[in-house]
Amino acid sequence: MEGTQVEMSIIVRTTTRFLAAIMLLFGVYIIFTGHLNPGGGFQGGVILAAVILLLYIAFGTEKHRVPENLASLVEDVSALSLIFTGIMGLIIGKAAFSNFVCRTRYDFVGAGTIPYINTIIGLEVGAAFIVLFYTFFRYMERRQ
Amino acid sequence: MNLLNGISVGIILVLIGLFGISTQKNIIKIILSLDICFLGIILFFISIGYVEGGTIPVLGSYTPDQYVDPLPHALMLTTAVVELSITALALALGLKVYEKYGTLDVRELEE
Amino acid sequence: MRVYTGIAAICVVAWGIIFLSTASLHYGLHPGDAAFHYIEWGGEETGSSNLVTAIITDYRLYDTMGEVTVLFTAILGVTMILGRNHHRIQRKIKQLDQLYGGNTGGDVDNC
Repeated sequence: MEGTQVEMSIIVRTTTRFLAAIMLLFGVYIIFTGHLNPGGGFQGGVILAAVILLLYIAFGTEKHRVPENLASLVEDVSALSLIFTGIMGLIIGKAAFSNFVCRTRYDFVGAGTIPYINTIIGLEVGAAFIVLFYTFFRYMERRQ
Repeated sequence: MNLLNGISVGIILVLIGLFGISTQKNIIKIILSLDICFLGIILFFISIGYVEGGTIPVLGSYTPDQYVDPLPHALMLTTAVVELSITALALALGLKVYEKYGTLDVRELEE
Repeated sequence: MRVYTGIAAICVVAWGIIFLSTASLHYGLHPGDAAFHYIEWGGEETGSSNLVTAIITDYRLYDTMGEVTVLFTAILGVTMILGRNHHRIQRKIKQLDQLYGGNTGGDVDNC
């Protein structure tokens, strides 16, 4: 069978089910309010990847094989869309890799392209970490 | 000025990492000593931009000369991600070396 | 091996004395010119309160793109070193053979 069926005790599994949802919400919150409070793309992406790592450790990698294909696809799409957002500034008429939306206030939508860049970077870093963890886990399982 | 500030601790961390690289025999310990070097450099750069009596670089109700320098913080974010990439590749190579030769000792690997 | 450890320790301590005596000369003073421009005009030009996020996503987005490239390449390298799952396709072929397989009866030549 692919993956491992080694799970941890029932206390760990119940606590993980409860904590994973809260950690996911916390990671998304840190990504989305990156331009108002300390945080941003990299920090939120690492928190999102830590959720999947917690699920790998507590439940074994057999039940959670789907995130590996999805994470690889998300990482590719995010890297391309970051470059596309940068070139878009050049196509419209202003400088390349800049903030080409009119910005007026210190709100969530008043910062132009900054929330979108934060989201793209958060998804990219999170997906890269998930692929890294999955590769290491599967290599160690295949060796024994 | 105080001698136990961030700059001194950063330099001491770099020196500890260098000492670990040059005297350890296990490959994993050498890679972790390299990691300690990187962390020392990051601490050194961030503590260079300190302003006396300053606060974090998030805009609030302060005058513009009470903020800590935000430029090293932004550069060290990129540095931390590059350091992660280097450590991941080095550890993957270390795993393959153990699979092929069966030992992790540097003196025996020179054959 | 004690000689090597002793030589390394002496070199590290000498290097430490040289570094620590020249560092912390510029500590706690005002930041440079570029950082002062970011602090003073960063809020109005980008519209974000967090100056570090404004630097890495608006003023220096090119460096962030380079760092994403480095991370992508490192993960690609680790995946290529440690091997992907080649046996998934072969296992699926074996599964399909067990479901629908059977001998052809030698009538492959007859059309």
